[in-house]
Amino acid sequence: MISTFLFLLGELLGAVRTKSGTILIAVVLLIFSFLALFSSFFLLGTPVEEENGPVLAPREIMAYLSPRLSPGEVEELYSKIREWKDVQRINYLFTQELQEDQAGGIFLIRTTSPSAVAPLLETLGSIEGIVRVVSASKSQSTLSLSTPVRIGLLIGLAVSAVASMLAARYGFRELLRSFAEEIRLMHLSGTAERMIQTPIIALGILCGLVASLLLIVAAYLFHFFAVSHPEAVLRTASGLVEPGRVLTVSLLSLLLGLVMGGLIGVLGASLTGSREFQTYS
Amino acid sequence: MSVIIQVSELHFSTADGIKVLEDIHLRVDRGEMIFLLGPAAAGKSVLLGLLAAQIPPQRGQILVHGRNIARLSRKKAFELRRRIGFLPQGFAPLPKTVLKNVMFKLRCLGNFQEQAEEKALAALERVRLTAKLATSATELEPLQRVRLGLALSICDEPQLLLLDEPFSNLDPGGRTEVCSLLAQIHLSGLTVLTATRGPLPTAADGHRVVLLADGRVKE
Repeated sequence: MISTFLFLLGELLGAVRTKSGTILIAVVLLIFSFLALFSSFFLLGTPVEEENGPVLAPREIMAYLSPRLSPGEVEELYSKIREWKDVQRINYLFTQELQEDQAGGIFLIRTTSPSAVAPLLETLGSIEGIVRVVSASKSQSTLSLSTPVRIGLLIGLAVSAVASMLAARYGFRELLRSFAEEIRLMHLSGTAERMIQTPIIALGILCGLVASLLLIVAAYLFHFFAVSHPEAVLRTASGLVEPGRVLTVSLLSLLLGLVMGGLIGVLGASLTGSREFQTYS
Repeated sequence: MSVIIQVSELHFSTADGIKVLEDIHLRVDRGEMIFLLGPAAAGKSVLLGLLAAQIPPQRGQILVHGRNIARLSRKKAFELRRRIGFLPQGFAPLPKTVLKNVMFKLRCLGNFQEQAEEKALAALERVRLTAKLATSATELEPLQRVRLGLALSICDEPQLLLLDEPFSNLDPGGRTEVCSLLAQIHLSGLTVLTATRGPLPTAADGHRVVLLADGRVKE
């Protein structure tokens, strides 16, 4: 049974021609777009509790400075913190860069390890001139998307789903046309219909799997970029800096991609029953 | 002798209401070799399609291998097809080598690679086509193409062989050769039913001939 399935899958892949191959690649890209739009719901946006501070990477701490500190005091504090062994990097930001309605400055501190975050939080909190400290665990939150963006994503999601289905139907028809003689022979010789259809469904699932893997690779590339440049994505795609969120979205996308591929495969498999693929109709 | 095909009161019309078969009665015993002779559009292909469980019957009874085709589930119909070797009219081989054509069918029917190769070689040996194993099937001459069609029909060891116009496009020598081949296959115990518009080769002498004209059978 598995041997026959693999044999037929190989034969089906062998029947892929330039036109059908191009359309199937387009189907993969459309599924990828669908998954990317789906993921955007979870990765784009700003945190709901923005007043508590922006989203941070796991090893990052944000220390809010009192607006009363003089530039000299800020510089002195900066130099002092930079010398600590648990501090890998320290950047100064104006509060207005993140929250326009507040004055003062912020130290964005990256620690050498996640375990160094808690003691540093305590130390920083006790320093005079630092009014508030925020770490990643406190700032990760529900993301908020504006209504127009949400509607745009929903429309994009629907369009990409319908487009991928239509392209898949067209692509599978083209593919099955170059496999028509084989299907007719199988029908004549008594090969069970499900045996003919299973490789086609598998090919659909394969398209979904490839699209999902592309999405996962893209999500992690963006994640690594976001972690190394948090300031660049904080206001637009805060979810990208949270590894747990990226992992969850990746797994959900994989599942959704497989389901989507399966549906596309079923759509393609349903074509084998048409007159075109029967000797007698 | 046991019956392999029993057709009674069989009627068949096209979607436009044109009568193709009218009150057909036919009995074929196991191990017989029969020629179904009739002019073009007499309904031979439809009758063979019905017997091979390729066309769903409309009215009447068809028993093949003791199974009523009209009452077969989809799954059982597929199972029955596997017990019938069927060569359709205008058979077109796959664009593969001769050996791979036969192996493709056998692999689809669940045979493993080695088993399929063994059976395919045996079938091609029976139709004397082993010299063309690596030749592309689409480049075969008409006679060799019929031989390949026959090899495909018998490769999975069916008990009943249905052939639709195997002599068309063949010269008299080719017809005689195919008929002798059919006689040899028949001698191995297969029931062979061949539909043709004629003329019958001399090698067919001595075998039962059934006439099909105007949708009716005359013996």
